[in-house]
Amino acid sequence: MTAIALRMSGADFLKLRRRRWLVLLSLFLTLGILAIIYLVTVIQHGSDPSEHGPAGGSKNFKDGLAVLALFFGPLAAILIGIEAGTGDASAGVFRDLVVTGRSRVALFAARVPAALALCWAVMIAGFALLVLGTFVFADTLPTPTTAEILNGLGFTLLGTGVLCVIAVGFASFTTSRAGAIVTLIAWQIVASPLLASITSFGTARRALLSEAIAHFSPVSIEGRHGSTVTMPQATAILVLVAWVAVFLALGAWRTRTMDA
Amino acid sequence: MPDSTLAIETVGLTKRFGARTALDGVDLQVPSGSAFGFLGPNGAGKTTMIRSLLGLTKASAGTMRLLGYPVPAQRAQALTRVGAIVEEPRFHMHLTGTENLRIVAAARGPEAYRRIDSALARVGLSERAGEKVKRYSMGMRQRLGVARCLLADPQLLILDEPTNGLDPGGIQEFREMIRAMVEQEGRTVFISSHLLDEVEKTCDAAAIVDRGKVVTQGSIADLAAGGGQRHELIIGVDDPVQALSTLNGNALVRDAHRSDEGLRVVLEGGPDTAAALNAALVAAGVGVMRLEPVRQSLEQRFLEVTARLDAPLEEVPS
Repeated sequence: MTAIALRMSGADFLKLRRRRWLVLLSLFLTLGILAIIYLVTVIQHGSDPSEHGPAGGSKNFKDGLAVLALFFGPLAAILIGIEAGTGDASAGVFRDLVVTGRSRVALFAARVPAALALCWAVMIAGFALLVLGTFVFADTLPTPTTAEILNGLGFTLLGTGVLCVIAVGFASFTTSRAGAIVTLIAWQIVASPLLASITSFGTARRALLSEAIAHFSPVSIEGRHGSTVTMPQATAILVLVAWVAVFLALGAWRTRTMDA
Repeated sequence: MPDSTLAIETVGLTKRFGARTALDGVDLQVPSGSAFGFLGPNGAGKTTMIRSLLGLTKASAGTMRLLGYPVPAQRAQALTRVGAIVEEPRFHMHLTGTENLRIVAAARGPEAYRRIDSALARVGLSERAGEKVKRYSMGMRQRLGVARCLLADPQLLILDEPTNGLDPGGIQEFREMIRAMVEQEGRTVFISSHLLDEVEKTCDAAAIVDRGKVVTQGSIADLAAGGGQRHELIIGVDDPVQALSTLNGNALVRDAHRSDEGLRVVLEGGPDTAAALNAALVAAGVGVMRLEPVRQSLEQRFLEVTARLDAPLEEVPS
């Protein structure tokens, strides 16, 4: 990465981190939700220990990881990615960046590391709270191993990172913040699980982004592994790379060709 | 290094949006080191022209040069020394003035970073630079827009309706700043505007555009005088009937008629024919009490040329 590319990404990161509602909402979806879960569980355990176990320990770590990495973390990642993809156009400053003479593809490319930096900073903060609660509130329960913790962190960063980058590309392609938010969240939360549950689609369901991400999930959801569809590791990697590549290409193409 | 005696040069520049032609074969020459007005009514194609020059939208036909560089072929090189405000200046409202400049400086390079403080000082925003732009007045945003242009240390500034939203004091300050940039710093400033007074007071030369065509271009004085071809006199006489009879029969007179101020006479020749007319009137026994040239305003000229687009376009020497 050249010095100018670094500065451009730094500038994009500045735009994102100073967007107060985005940072607060993202922190609520990660830190806030986990904090609420811990608060409720601690109160329940304190009021009736025989009925409700401690808030920490391995099992609660996995439940919290599912909340962070599979439900609310992806929402935050999508919001951050979409803001990075549409921020310049919606503020009307894209044309001012274009008249610097800098290539439009470079302007687009600068958004990706900036969005990832904020996304991962938020995820790491959420994950740190998860680990902290896991040990502080473990009481007599067993705690996760270092490998399990690192595995959980890796999965959180992978899943949210992929979604964040796709959101940057998709939002840059559509240039509509509201449209991109509705479409991506509806796809991930409603359409994808529905399509994955239709067994007649067979191995075609391997192409679903949510299934490829869930393939790497170290946690189970409702008694089953994260992914509904089984697939080889290489296929899962290929699917993730393909989704990222297609949406980055679409975003770059639109940024390069649109009227500024 | 390309020849840059012309800061902007377009030949046959055309931009179509579907069936509508926004720019229709525009030939424009903007000399370096001048303030040049691009004057036209709303919807004449001024902003489309600027957007095409800057590569914000793709031209349908024609060629363009900025600072001697052909665009879009060498657009990046050309734009390193071009600053522009297109339509109203827009910013990230949640960032401060300084932060907004940092965003653009990041794309321009390290020299631009070093110019942030001086650019803010140049437009008088140093003390408010740490405030969020959403708290800025329209005038402050215009000035911040100029500061953003100055990050490029521009040889050419392209400003689209730059005094929109400014109060009279702000307009005066802005005008002085533009003149200083041209006269003291040697920059070229291209101002698109529908405000005749602004162009007349700020610019050295101008082009009048209407319905996508450059109707005429030249120095402000030449434009106002109709390209040096239209000279008028107001003549005060003691016998208007006799005077009109004499004048209308004179080969030096294109037209003579009564007006509130006296006899209004359009000359066939230049202003030096006034003396011959005076002699002719005196010889005809008419007492001449007053004889003065009519100073044409750009406004009159603008209204004339934009009201007769169906007539053949005229050439005005620059």
